[in-house]
Amino acid sequence: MYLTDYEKALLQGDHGEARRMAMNVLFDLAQYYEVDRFVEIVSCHDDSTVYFGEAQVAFTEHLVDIGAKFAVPTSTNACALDMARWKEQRHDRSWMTATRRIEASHLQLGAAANWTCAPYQAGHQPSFGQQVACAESNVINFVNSVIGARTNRYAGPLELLAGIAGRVPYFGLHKTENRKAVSLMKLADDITPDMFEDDDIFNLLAYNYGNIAGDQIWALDGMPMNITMDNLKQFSATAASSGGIALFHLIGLTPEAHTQEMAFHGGKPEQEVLITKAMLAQAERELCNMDHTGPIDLISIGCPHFSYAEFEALEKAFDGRKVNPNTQFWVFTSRCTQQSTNDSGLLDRVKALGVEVFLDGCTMEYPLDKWDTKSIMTNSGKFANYCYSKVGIHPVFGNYRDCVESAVSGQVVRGKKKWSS
Amino acid sequence: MVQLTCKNVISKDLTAELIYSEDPFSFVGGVNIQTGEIQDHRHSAFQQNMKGKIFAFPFGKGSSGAGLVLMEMLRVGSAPAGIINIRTDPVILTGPLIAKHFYEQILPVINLSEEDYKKLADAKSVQIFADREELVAFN
Repeated sequence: MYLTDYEKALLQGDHGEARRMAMNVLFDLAQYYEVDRFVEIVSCHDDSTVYFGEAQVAFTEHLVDIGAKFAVPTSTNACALDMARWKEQRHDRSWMTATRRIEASHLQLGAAANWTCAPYQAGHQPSFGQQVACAESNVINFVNSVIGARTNRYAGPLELLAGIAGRVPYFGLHKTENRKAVSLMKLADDITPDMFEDDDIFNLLAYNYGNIAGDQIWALDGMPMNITMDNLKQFSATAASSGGIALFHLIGLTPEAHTQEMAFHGGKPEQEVLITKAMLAQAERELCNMDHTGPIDLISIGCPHFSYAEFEALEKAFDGRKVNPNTQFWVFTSRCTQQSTNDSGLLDRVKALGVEVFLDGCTMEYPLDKWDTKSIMTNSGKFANYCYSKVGIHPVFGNYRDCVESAVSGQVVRGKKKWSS
Repeated sequence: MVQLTCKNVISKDLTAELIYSEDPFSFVGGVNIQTGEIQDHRHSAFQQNMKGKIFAFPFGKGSSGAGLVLMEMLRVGSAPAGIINIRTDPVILTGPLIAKHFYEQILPVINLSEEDYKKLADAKSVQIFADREELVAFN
């Protein structure tokens, strides 16, 4: 393996114990993937923030103890709870103290305390072609596919070590030749343009994309040109929950797929698969608890974290009506979006509708045992996919307008879906 | 008994019961961290317990929290005894790598070719070795 003098010095411990340990783990990773050199990264997104247990807390504190500091700007992913309003969420105090320890250790490592799973909508987005190390599956997918920066699927706390060493083995999606699509998905003729008026379709397509592509790179042809940043965010998150997806190409939309030829680096697709209307309906049946039609206790959205544009759309959908007193409406967002919605007055107007706005935390970390909640609704394909295994409830899935109509009436309302007829 | 050539990503001498699956797996949401029980109701190994067993799944999927989950499972003692994949991405490798370097704890990760992987379908237990890239499956 080719190593620079600086990298040799890192491995020998000339730059401290923390960098030595970080570099040794990365060196081991490089050997497994038979990598011949390292590549420097310009930034890092750190996902070791949602509390899964004592191991991760102790590990990050250990890094602090041995003198670790990030070598590159590092943003922090969402954590388990709202650091200021965890009591309103009814989280355990023990989770709060663990999260505070996570916060303290990450700040000591030099992280930016932005606590969001949509850092690319909160001032931490790389540019095209840059080498980065990201954890958090939706961020990995978005940064690779929509922005065209380069990261592999890193996981907490490996990305901490990448941030500390400032480099990663030069392999996988860091290299141009590994970023080409191998196969092609197309939309069947029975998927008609009017179906794209319903945002659900981006989640249903993404769910199919992840199932079909597995851990391979595919290109998808036929997505509409007016797709929004938030549609792409949902697509990234949902595809990365049904599959091991790190990079997708949408022909004509994403930066490495201006044309089909470009997406395939001049080659031909190995396989072509059609996504049909029936497959959208099937994805909907898998994500949505169709049997639940009665009262709805909790509507939880902002997975990934809600953007300014989504708050605007939410206010319009409410059209002055309010959340039914028997229903809770929770929105998760970042401190950055909170600031901008607060500055414009939008945040106060949305809160006045009965919407609870939480920062820092995650829809999936819902303490069900503390609430008398029997039913959950969301517009997020990712949350819908994990909700049963993480929270314990089969959720109702519907777009943000369905969520608002359900919130106002207190009963599940889902508009007619053009793919299920 | 079937003898296969494998790639030892991280290994040790070990014989353990096997849980075999052809579905990709997400450690986030897929497993009860405290007990090791597989709780993803769509997964073919649903309700089996991976604690102390070798867990074979073709590749990882889903949330990158998997590294944190595996570290915590190693801490509380609910982790699998080993992992067999066709392909192992850095998300799955994170926990075992950090355990090896920082805690001197070996959670073996073994790779098999796609063809050989399917030969494990009827195996009840598997033996792996620290010093050679060979896997023995017992029916």
